[in-house]
Amino acid sequence: MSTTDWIVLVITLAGIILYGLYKSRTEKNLEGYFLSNRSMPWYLVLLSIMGTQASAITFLSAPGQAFTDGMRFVQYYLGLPLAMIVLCITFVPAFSKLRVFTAYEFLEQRFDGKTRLFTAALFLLSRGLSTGISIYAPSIILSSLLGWNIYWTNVIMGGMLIIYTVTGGARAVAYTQQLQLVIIFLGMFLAGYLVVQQMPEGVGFIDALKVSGASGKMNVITSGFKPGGGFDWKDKYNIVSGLIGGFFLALSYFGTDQSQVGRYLTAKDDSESKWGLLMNGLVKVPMQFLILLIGVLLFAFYQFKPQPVFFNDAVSEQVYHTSYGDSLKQVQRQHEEVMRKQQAHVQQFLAADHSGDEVTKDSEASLMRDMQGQANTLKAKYKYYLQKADAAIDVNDTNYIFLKFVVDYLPKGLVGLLIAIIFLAAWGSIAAALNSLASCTMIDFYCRMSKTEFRQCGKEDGLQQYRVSKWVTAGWGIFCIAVAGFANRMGSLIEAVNILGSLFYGVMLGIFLVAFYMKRIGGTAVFISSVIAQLIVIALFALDSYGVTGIGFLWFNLIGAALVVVLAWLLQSIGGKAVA
Amino acid sequence: MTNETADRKKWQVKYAAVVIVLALLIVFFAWLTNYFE
Repeated sequence: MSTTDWIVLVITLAGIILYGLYKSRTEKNLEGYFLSNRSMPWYLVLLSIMGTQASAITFLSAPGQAFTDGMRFVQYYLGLPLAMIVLCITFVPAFSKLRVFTAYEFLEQRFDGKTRLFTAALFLLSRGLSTGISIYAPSIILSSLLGWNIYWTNVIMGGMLIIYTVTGGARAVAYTQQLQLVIIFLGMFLAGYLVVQQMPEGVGFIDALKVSGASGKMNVITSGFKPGGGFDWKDKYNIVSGLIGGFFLALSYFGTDQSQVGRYLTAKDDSESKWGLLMNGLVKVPMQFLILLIGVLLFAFYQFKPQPVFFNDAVSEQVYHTSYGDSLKQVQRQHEEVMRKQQAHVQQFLAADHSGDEVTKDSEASLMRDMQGQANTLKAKYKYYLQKADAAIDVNDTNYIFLKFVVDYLPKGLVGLLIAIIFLAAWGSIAAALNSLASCTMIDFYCRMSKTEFRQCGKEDGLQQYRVSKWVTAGWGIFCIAVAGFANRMGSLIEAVNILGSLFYGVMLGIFLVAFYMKRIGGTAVFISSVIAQLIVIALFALDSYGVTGIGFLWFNLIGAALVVVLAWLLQSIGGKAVA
Repeated sequence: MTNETADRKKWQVKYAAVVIVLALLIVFFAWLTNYFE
């Protein structure tokens, strides 16, 4: 990085920390620290919800995902707007009426203490682990770009973030997220613009989409059905899994994950919460579409410019010095040759398109796909050699595709800004996560255990609890940094986070669905069913990992939720008053 | 019509608007897929 980039990076990050500290003045009690005194307008709730969900992973992985797999990942978000409607009708009024601090507090009111603690524990486990990944995501940039030790980078990244999160609580989190999103959108728009601008002369935005489309990257909507007929249950992203699986994932995430519930509980009243959620439903899909579009444009860009066979240079460099170095270089040369031929076909494809010659266009498109197939085979071969050289090497380079473009092609200053954006996106979601992990620990465990009366938390010793909350926030920050140290073998980070979510969210959602819609079911029935359901979901995931079953992870949400509902109903029907 | 009913109606219109926008987005995405693939 140049000095200009360093200056831009440091100023942006320092600015956010200072702004966070400036906005840290809250009332020194639990309501002030965790809910910003329930004073936020809908647009701040919206930005806070978006800033919490859109982590660095979103901006790092999504363009890479589109580059390798096309636009179809956007379907994963199609169920989200529908989930927002259900939240507005059911969850928001219930939480608002009881004026809860956490979603799990509601469960004690509806069921009993053990169900509340079990659900809160599931949240702490899943959110604690996935926040670790959210710290690791931006850290790989620094370690790969600057050659820093990844573990120390995690420590520095998490440490800077803790400063304003501990000091300012929910208020500092919401205000910094607002500023962060403005900078993020500006930077991503600039990056997208520069991808198109750096295409060869005569190749515009639509041409780029046509090139990517001919290679199968504009697969925005896919049916999920196999060419021979029958639904492909292993296919992760299609309109069916997106609408149904995505709906349940979004419902669980926004309805049962305190990192999100804590954002809309900061609203002035339930009307402001609903507005924030509904607007999130409206803007999230187009936003994700645009981020993925950058990946598709990058794909087209690399049809004209030299495309690396593998985007993580640091790993390649490491293996060049081993006995597999020559094999790698040979594959690289073959890849360059294939890409040269590909480039010629791409140019002929565009020429045919411009002249209206449909026959040549179709045949060139077919040749482009053949070349792409050959390039993919060579890429697989390259990864095979990398793993042969060192089995511990992470051969997934999805997260490096966008970054490599940024470093190689963006002008001075913008590289620093884009790297700052990755930090800011990470900080937005990590800050909300730490705040919610602390609120859950304080309200559902520390406070609940020290009070014999339900809902007495925060009624007295406000200042003392405020001080403890700060320590708890810092403690979770340190825990997440430790988890980040183990996150480097999780493949595509955006998928790792979603898989983690899918493992636990389904069961959590099932508990809440029973709470809202099955009034006659009691605490013991739902508690036993949720424990059994969680064990089944984990077993299914293990079987899937070993290739025994073939269920895409998005379905775990639906399975987990359905299991809790059905088992609770059965138990209640059989057990009667004994499980009430 | 009570205030509560009017408020509920108002929100129902907003929910319907979100569903319509989602449906339009899906149609647009399907068109994009068909056009560029």
